[in-house]
Amino acid sequence: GSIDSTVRCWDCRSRRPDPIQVLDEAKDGISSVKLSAHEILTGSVDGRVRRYDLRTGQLCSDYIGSPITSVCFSKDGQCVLAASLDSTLRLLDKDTGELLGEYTGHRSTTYRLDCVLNEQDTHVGCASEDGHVYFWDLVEVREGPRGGVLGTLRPSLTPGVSPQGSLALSLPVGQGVVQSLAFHPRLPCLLVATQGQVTLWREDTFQPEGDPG
Amino acid sequence: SLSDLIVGERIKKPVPLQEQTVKDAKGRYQRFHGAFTGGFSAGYFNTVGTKEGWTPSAFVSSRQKRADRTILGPEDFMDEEDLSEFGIAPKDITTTDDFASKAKDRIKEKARQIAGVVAPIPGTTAFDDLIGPSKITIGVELLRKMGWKEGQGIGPRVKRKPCRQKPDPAVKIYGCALPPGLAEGSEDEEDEYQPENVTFAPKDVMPVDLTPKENVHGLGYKGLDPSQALFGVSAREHLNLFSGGSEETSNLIGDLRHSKGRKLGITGQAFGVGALEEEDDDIYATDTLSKYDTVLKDEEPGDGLYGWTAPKQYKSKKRPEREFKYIGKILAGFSLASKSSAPIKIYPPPSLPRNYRPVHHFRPVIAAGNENRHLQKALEESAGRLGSDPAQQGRHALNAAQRREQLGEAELKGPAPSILEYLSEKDRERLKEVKQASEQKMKAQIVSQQSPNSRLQPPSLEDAAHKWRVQLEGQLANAGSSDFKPFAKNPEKQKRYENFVKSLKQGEKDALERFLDPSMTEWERGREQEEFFRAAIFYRSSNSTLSSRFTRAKYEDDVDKVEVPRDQENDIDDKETAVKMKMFGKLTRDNFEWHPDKLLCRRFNVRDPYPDSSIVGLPKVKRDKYSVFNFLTVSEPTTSVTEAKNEKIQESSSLNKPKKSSRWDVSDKEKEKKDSISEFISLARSKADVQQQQPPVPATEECGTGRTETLPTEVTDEEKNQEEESGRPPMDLFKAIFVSSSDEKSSSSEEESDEEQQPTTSDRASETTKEVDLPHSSSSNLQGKSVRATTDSGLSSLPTSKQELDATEEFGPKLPPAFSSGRFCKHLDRKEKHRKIRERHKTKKERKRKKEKKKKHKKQKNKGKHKNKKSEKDSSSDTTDSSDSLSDMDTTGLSPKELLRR
Repeated sequence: GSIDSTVRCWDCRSRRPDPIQVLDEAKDGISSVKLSAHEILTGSVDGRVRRYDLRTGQLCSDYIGSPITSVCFSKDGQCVLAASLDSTLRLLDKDTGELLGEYTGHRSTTYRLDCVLNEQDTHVGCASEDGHVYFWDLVEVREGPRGGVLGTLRPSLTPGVSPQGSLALSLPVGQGVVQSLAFHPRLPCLLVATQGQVTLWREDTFQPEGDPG
Repeated sequence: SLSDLIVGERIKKPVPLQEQTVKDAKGRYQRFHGAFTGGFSAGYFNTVGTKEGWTPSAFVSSRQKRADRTILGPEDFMDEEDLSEFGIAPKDITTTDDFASKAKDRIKEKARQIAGVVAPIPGTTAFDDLIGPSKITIGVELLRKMGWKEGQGIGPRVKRKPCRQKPDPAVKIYGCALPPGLAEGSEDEEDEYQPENVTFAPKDVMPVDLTPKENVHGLGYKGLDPSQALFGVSAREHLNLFSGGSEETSNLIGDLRHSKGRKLGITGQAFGVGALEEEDDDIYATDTLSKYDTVLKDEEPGDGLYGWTAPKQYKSKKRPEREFKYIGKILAGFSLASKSSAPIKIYPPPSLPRNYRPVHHFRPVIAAGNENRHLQKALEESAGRLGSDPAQQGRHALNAAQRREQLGEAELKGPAPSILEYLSEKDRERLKEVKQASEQKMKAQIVSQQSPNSRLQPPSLEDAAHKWRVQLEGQLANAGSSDFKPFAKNPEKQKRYENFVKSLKQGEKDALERFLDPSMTEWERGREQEEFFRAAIFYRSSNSTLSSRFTRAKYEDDVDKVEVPRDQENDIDDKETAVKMKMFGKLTRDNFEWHPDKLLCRRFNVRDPYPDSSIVGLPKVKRDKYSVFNFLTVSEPTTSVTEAKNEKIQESSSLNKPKKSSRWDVSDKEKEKKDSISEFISLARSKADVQQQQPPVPATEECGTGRTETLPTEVTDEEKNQEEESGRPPMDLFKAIFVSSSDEKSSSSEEESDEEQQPTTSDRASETTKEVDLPHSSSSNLQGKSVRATTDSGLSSLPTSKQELDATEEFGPKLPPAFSSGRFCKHLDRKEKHRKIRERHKTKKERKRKKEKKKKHKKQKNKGKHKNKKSEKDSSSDTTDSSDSLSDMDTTGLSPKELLRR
């Protein structure tokens, strides 16, 4: 994905320097590209989520409106999560483009922030510009103070983080913008980068290897 | 045949090809002789000349009347139709192509166009235009336009009579007429009358043939010229090789052949006698005496050849040099000089001095200064470096403005070519601000440094330059490229400026002094220097400001056809409204045909969806670059919020994909005909959370919370619910949708659903869910109520299905409703692990359910919001949350502590 509004596909095997296909449908820069087994999912600053389906030869373009910062597939491959600059995460049905869920509360107006789904598709996470990582329940969208389950996730470095905020969880990971966010594909394990610092978050019961405590 | 038709007879059968006949103008049957031309239609009905047959011409003895015998031509043997317009030898006078006007015949053009359309390959006539035979060269055409005709010479028309072709070959003059004095002198006797105003074209000039001899024939051998042979140029011409010398003798003896003046020139023993020759007495060559010299002379005739034959040109060489010094036409009023002028003496070039070195020494550069200025100016001008005076430059060095000035043309009206003109008003303002800011900064510094000087006096050149240079130090690196022309209106000044910037960039300190106009006054120079510096600074800021404003063109300028995607993404306005309404789905989605690259498919391990297509990406069409269709996109029906349309779309989506239909689609299907309900749905979708639903049948306890918030819409809601209840489709539909995949479950659910009475479905469903919820959820009442609220809010199909699922499958009982999605339950129920595989197959179904739940939870969220407003509800919602989290922990299976607590 490039800022010149193209997505370029190279063939790693042939080592050819030129791309085998250029997807230049976007009208603005590409902010995010994700792949599934047979799909290419792109989010563009022109406010569209485009999904190129290689199996059916279709291009589905979903209009979100606000510039897309990050897109990702759900683990079951049926939903698409799109974060946009109007401080909203949207969960879209992949096949019909319908809105399945909308998640707000974080702040994302300037930067290209990541959004994630956890390893079991139960929660939706997104980085924020206020130094937190927010998690929402995938299905139950509700505002209000809650005792979060994910609150039991504790950072490996700092002890005792009590969940605050109006969502399932908001992890305060730093002062500045949370620049990058990644969730482990199989384990409840979160990797956060902010302000020159990368932190790994595991659940409470997690015992680091080689650490008896 | 038209009259036949009118009478009403049957149309005759078409005559077969072999029976079709052609008749000529006289009604005679025409037979085609020859494949292409039609040949001669010989004689009378292909027999003889007349009906009576051949009429032999009267015999005329040629013995006495040889003179008036008639010469027969081919025309004498032709029929009259051959001589008519379309015959093979038309006699009509028509304009040939050579003299036809160049304006195209409109009728012919039309006919050609029609023929082109009708032709088997349309448009083939276009090729005829392309590949036309070139008839005449452009030079000949130009000459013709100027009035020249073939056979005439080139040049102004002359007064005298055109020179006759002199039959005397001995005095042949190549290529030119005789001088007037000579020519007129010889001709005056013959010219009886010559009108004043008549002019004649000059004689045609045969160019001297200078082609080298490449064959092995004898000198002067020409072969047989068929035109001369056939059309009776006097045979004497053929023999003129010898005539020069032997004329007198032949005249003396008298050549019979020459005097006869035969018309046909084919003679000689080698050719026999032609059919058209009437003379057969000359079959064998008879040597005449005329061919031999009869007199032995002492001297040769004067050609110096001593009997050798030679072409005549060679002979003419022997003339005195003076005579053919000038070969060519002599202008009227001139005559050939009788005395040749003295030859021009050519002097040899001077010999070079011994120590000469061919290296040029440039004149020394003189430092600028007041006393040296004139000298400097002279030097610079002589070196062409200053270049301020256009008259001193070559014409290639002039620019358009200077040329315009010299030609005295008016200046072009229109926008100045400065890029500033293309900027919007706002941007110009901004630029101006930048400029002013920098100016003021500069001024302030200047003033501060200038304080000892008087303020009226401009700074001396050195001072100012130094100051500016200090400020410009870092900026000049990219200042003053040729794009930026601050003095475009004054080209000389602009040139000075460019030179100045160039040299500044190279780091020359005294650059400015050199490039300033030396004819200016001191004050003007000071001003201009300041201007240049300012412009150099200004350029930098404006350059960066401007460059961020422009981007590279997407299409080349000089192509008028561009490839545009066949399908364009639709108008954003519609989508904008749809997004605002949160009506994602059909309205916000565009589907295109997209062709992945074959290699890409292989790498993804996916079969190519379009194995036959050669295109990659979106299908494209060529369109005019400026076609209006590039900017128009065919919009789908407008997505206004009119209920009818929404309904239709949702309906179509639900009909098209019954398997993937969501809960909303189902509900829409239920109430296809009810605008009010669909309106309600759309409102609910857009989170019109003011609508607080109320169960029609009051629940057992604690429904007061809902009641306290009852809104005026309650009544209408109830009405809607009732409508919906009455108009609900039969249960089979839901079964078909929800319980189709697994047979053993469907059987049980069928029994169950059969027992149910339709009107009470929703109530019972809510009760069931409530019952189901009660033992497991700490805030069961609340949950139950919320479920009921959604149930009764016009979406009663869901609970029914949910109930079925609850009854048959493992989902319902163990989970709070918030997490009754199949996926989580799957993790919960270890017992049902074996079902996992089956559930994999039912992902679609699960998703359906999940969606349903989600919608429901949205409702709950709405509800939750209301609760948040109420403080007393916080605790209960908290507990709900904790229970939710409990279940979550359960699904992750991470914390046994939480399990215990649960």
